[in-house]
Amino acid sequence: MPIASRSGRMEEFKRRVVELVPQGECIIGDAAALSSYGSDGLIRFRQTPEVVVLAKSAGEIHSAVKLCAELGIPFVGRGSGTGLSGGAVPPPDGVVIAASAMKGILEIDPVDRIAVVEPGVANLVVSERTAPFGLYYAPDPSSQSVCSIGGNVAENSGGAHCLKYGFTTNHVLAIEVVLPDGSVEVLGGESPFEPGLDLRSSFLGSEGTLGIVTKVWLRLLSRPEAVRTLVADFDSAESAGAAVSAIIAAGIVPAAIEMMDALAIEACEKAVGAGYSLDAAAALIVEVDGPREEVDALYEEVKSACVSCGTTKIREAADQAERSRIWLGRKAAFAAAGRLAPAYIVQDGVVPRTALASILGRIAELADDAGLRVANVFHAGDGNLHPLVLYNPDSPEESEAAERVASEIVELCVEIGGSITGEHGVGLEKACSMAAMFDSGDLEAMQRLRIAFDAQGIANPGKVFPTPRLCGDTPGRYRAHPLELSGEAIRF
Amino acid sequence: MSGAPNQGPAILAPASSAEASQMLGSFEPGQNVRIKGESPAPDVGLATIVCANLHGYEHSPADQTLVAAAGERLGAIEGMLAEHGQRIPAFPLTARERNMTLGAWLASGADTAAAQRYGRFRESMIGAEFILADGTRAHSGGRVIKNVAGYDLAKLMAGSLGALAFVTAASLRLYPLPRRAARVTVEAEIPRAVALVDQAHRAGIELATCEWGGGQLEIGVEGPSAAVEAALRKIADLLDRTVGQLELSEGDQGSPALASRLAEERESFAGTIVKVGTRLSGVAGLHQAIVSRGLAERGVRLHSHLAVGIHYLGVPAGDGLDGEVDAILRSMRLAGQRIAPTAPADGTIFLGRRPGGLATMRRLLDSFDPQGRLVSPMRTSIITETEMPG
Repeated sequence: MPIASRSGRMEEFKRRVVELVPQGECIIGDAAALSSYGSDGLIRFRQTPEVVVLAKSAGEIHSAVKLCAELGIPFVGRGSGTGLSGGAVPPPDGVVIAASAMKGILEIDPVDRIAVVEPGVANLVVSERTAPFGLYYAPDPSSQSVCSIGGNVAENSGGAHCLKYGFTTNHVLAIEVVLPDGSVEVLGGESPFEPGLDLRSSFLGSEGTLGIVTKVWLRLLSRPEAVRTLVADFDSAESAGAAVSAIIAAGIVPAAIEMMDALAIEACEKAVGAGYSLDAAAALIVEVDGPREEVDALYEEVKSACVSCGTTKIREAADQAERSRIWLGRKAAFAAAGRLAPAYIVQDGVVPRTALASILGRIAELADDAGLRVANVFHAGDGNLHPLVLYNPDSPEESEAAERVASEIVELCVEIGGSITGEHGVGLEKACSMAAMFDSGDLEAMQRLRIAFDAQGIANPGKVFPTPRLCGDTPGRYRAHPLELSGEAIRF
Repeated sequence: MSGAPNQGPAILAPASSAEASQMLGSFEPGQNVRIKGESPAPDVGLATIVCANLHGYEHSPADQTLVAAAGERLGAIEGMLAEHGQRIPAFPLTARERNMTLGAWLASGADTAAAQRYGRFRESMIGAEFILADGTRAHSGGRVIKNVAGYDLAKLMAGSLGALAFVTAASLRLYPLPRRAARVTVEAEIPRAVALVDQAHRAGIELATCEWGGGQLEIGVEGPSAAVEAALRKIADLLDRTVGQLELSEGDQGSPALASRLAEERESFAGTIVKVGTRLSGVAGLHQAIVSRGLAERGVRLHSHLAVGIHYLGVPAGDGLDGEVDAILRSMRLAGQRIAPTAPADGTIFLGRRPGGLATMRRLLDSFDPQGRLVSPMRTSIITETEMPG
C-alpha cells in the first residue's frame, strides 16, 4: 500500500535503509551527529538532514538511492563537505548519502596512466599514491588535502594550475554513477573517445543534481621535470594586469599566474609571513613548469615581461622550500582576511582576463561608495576573481552594504562578459544569480537535461536553478569552515 | 532561405539564430528535419537545415578565445588565427576538413592529432549557442575559459551528429602556435610503438602529437627551440641514435606529415571507418586480434592517435568484415562507432560493446526533442539499441 505522507515515507526509509547498508553506517535520530552534515564549507546555509547514510561501497549507495527513488525522498550526495556554495546542504526533509568512507584506490596503471578510484579518495592522495611512478593528478583545488574526487566531479573543480592543465572535466575519462532512479551506468570510457552522446561532460560539474558518482577513471600526467616560481611586485594593479597580458601575448601558458592587491598582501603577510613586499600595490605569483629547457627559456621571458611592465621587484624561489612558502602565503589569503576585519564575504566570479585591471577599478569604486574595504586575490591567468569584502558584522548597515557590494561584483562580472562562478559552483548561494547569465530558454534546456537524468527531481533539489522560495532567502556573511579553522583545509 | 518547411522537402539556410529559431519553431507536428553543415544534394525528400549561412566571429586575441558562428569554415578560422599566432586544437586539417563548417565539425565529433596535446576538440569548447527542435533558443557556458555556472551542454553537442539541437555558434579556447615543431618518424609495429610511447613518457618527453599507421609511429614535439632540441635528443637516446640519424621534419606550423597522410587515407577509404577508444596498451590487443584473425590480409587497416587511445579501423566493404570487426570489439569489450558511412544500412552506428548510458541518452533525446523531429543517425542508433531485447 503506498505511503502517502512525507513523514510516513521518511519513517519507512529509516526503517529499511539500515538493512541496506550492512558495512556502512546510518545516522538516524542523533541530532548532534546529523547536525554536522547540515552544511558544507559555506556554513551560512544549513539544513539538518533526517538521515545520513555513510556508505562503504557502490552497492550501498545504489541501494540507498534506489530506496529514495522508491519512496520519493530527496537526497544529496556528499564527499568531504568542503564545497563553498552550499551545494551539499541537505534538501529539506531529505537525506545525505555520503561517499567519504569510500577511499579505495582500485587501480593504478602507470603505462596507460590511469587511476581508478572510489569517490571518497582525497584529491591529493591520488597524486601521492601515483608519485612513485612519476605521475600525478593535475587538478589541484586548494582544499586538495581533504576534498574528495567525488566532490571534484560534482563541482568540476579547478585549482591554481588549471590555466595550463584544465579542470576536472579534462582529467576524468569515465565515471560510474548511480542515477536518481537507482540505475547504475558508466559514462565515458577508458579513452577520451566513447561512442554516443557525451553524458560524462554533462554530469561533471552538475553539483549532485544528476546522481551520485561511485567510481572514477582518472587521467594521470607525468610530473613536470622542472618548476620555477617568482613573485613580481608592481606599483599598480594596472601594471600587474599588463604583465599578465604581456606573458600571455608572448605565447606562454604558465602553470599558474596569481595576483594579489595591497590589502591581500598585507593580510597574507600578517597571517603567514610569506615574505611578500608590504609596499607593493599588487603582486603576481608566476609559475612555469615542464621540461627543463622549456621552463628555463619561458621563465626568462616571464621575467622580461614583468620588467617591461614596470615591476619594482622580482623575488625568485630558490628552492622547493621557498616555493612552498610563496604558495602558503597565497593559499592563506582567504583565512588571512580575518586579520583585517572581523568578517568578510568571499566572492567568486570570472571576467575576461584582459578586463582584470579595469574590474579592479570598478570594485574599488563600489567599495568606496559603500565605505568598505575589499581585498582582491585572483587567478589572474584565467580571470577568476576572489574579492574579499571586509565588514563589521556588528553593524547592520555594514553587513547589508557588504552583501550588496558582493552581489554587485558578480553582476559586474556578467556585465563585462564573465561568469557568476569560476570554481566554487552555483549551489544554493548563487542559484538566484543564474538568471543574470542565462535566460529562460537556456534554463529550460538545462532542465530538459536534468529531467532526463532525474524525472522525479529528487537529486539535490533546490540547487543550481533559481526557485521563488530559494530566491526569497537572504544570504548571510561568510564564516570559516571548521576544517579551515583546524588548519586541515585552506580556501583558495 | 530556399523553401519553407510546410512546402515539402526544403533546404533551410538561416542567416541568424533568430531565423533558425523561427524556422524550427514553425514546423508542423510530424514534420522532420535533419541538420547539416551545408546544402546536401537533393535526395531523400527530407527537409534539411544548414548552418552554412551563419557567419561572423568575435576573436579576443589577448583572452585567447573565439566565438564563431557555426557557418564559418575551419580553414578560414585557422588562417585568421594564424595571423595572430594562435590556433584551434584541431590540426592537421585535410583540405576537406578546412572546407567544413564549424557546426558540421562539432557535430561530427572528429578528432585530429591535436588530441594528444589539447584533448578532444570538445574539451576546448567553453560555450555554445543552439536551437532546440521546437525552436527554443539556448546557450550554455560563455566566453571565459573558467566557468562552472550551469550544466555544460556545449560539450554535449560535440559529436551528437545533430541529434539534440542545431548549433548556431561556439565559444572556443585558443592556444598559441608553437615556436618550433618537429616530428620524428620511426618504423614500429604496434607493440614496439606502445613501448616507445611508454618510454617517452618515462623520459619526460611531452608529446605534442603521437600518430600511428602503416607500421609507422610519428612523434611530434613542440615548444621553444631549446626545448624541442632537448626533446629530440631524448627521442634519439630512446632509439639508440643521434639526432642527426632521426627521420626528422620540421615546420608547417607543426602539422604532422604522417597524420595528414593518414587522415586523407581515411577520407578516401572505400568501406567503413570505425572509431574505437582503448587504453594505450589496449591497442596492442586490438591490433593482434586483427592480425591473428587474418583481417589485415583482407584489407582491414588500423590508424591511431596512439598515446591518447583513439583509433580508426578501415573495414573494406563486403565480405562480412563488418561483422567480424564487431565480434572482435565485443570479445574485447571495446565500444566502436561507425563514422563513415554515417548512416549505415542496418540503422546503428554502434559496434562492439554498447556505450554506457544508452537508456539515459534515449531519455535525453526524448526530453530535448520529444516529437523526434530531428533526424540523425545518432538518434536512430540510440533508439534501435535501447529497443533491442536484453
